[in-house]
Amino acid sequence: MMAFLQAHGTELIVKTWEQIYISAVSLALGIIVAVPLGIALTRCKKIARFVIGLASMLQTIPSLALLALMIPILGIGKTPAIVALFIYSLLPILRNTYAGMEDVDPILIDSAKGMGMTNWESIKMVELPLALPVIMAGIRLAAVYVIAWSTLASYIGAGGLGDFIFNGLDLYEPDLIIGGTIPVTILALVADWLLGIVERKLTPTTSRGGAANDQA
Amino acid sequence: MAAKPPMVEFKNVSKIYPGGKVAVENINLRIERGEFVCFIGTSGGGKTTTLRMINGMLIPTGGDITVDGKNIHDIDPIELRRSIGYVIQNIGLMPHMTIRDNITLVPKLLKWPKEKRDARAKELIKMVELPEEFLDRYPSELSGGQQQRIGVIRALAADQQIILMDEPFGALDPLTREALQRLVKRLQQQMGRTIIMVTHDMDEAIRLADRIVIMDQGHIIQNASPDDVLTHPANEFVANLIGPERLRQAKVNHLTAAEIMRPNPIKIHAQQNLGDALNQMHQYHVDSLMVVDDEDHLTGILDLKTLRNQQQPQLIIDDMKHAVPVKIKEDERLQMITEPLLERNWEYVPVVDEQNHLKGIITRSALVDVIYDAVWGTTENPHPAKDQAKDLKEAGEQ
Repeated sequence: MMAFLQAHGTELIVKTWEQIYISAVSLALGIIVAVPLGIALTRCKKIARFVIGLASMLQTIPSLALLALMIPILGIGKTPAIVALFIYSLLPILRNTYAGMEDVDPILIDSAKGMGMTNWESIKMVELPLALPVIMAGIRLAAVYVIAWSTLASYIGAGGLGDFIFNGLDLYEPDLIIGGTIPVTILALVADWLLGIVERKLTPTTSRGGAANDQA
Repeated sequence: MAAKPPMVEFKNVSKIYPGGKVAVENINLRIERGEFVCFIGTSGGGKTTTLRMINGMLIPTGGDITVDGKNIHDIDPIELRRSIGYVIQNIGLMPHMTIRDNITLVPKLLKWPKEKRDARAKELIKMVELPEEFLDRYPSELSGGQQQRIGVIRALAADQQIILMDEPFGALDPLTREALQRLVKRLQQQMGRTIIMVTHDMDEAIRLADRIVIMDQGHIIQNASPDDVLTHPANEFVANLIGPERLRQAKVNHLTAAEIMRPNPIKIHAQQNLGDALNQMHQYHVDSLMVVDDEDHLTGILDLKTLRNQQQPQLIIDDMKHAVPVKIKEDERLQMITEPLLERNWEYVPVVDEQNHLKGIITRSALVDVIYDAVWGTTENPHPAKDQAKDLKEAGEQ
């Protein structure tokens, strides 16, 4: 192991950074698009099924195929990888945002409206805070997916820890395969753990005893 | 000066839901300032629909609703709802906000400064007799009754003049419900707010309302005071809604003095003398006489005690009579009559009309008949039957 680190230490750091970069950007884009979209869909339920269906369909495209499909459109490198992974992150976040918002007790929404909240105030002060735990669960799931799949991004020249794994496969060097896989796993676990902390911070308090997830 | 417009007025209002279900059809209703109005009826009768049209939660498909003289069509619905308190059955407190934030939610929407909001929260929680520490708690830490108290004061927090309540106490146990009913009635009376409540509980409506609006199949069947509804139900539907037990009770409670009294009591003219009085008492076997003047006005009472201590039969009654300790007007209700007779132990109470003409007397035995009716429910003839002992008084009258 020390030998592996001595031989590939610097490279490992660079590749890990690339992996983090690709995943984080795709996930961030996914959140920026899917959360507002999910909220918007609760206001026009007629098209909600259609949009969520479309996102589900995109999800079924094999990941390697989606990455390959990006090449004719965006060439190779990080950009097509980020776009492809962004598409993958959409569904879990979108679905959970929509479900979380829909799960908020309609009585509370009625009560909010009856007290004279505007649509936006109702979302901001009532629905979104109460839906956050479910939305965060979707984001955590998306984060783990994206980190795992960004390994494949190496295939279209985006770099990342996938380089190790693919090189290892090509050269029959198990060291490289393991050396690439372990950091990916660790990254995924760490991301999930960090986002778990964020989730607990964002979960609204419903008793002085501490945070409680009343959606559960 | 022009009269103030009604607080809420419905003019030919209809609500037809998409799909053609008629929830409310062409209703007209005026609700005055400071009134407590209860909508009652079967479920699906249109009462909740009617309520929810007032704050624009539902839009009528026909007719006009005015709030404080202004057509709500011309008011921004957000502004309208902020000016009207809203209490719902499931309370609807925000689980992720402290009690303080829940109470002052509308003031916050109205952008009151924080100090003013905090002061209001303290003032209101005192009003419902909950400790100030509760302000920092969350709704889940309060009992159902406590939560609904908060629900009620939340509807008052921004000085809303109208408060809509949709079966607010339906989910509470009877004791808690009664306490909250008292609270709401007190708040309405103290603060002069107009309260419009939907309920399915007739006892609640009778206890709280100044006016009961009975609805069925989208129409107003009756719109009257609880007394009127109880004594004169508009039709079979209303009578069924009230129920036979309450109707009988109401009939008894609403008997007037004129209905219970024995007419033609033994009386004597004020200018006659004590000798005449003694003769009359002897003749009718009574121990007291109603003293009247030329026009039959009741001016006093003469009893045996006065006569016993007087050995001069030529004295004029007018100089010897007592003042009438208690008398009752013809149209007064049973509740007014039982108090002097039972609590203060009078043997009888004279009944007079508006001009103080002597009309009759009510004796304790007359009450026995009435109470008998109330308990055993022989409502065939609510008027008292003849009794034995006291009726000797009137035996020779006719």
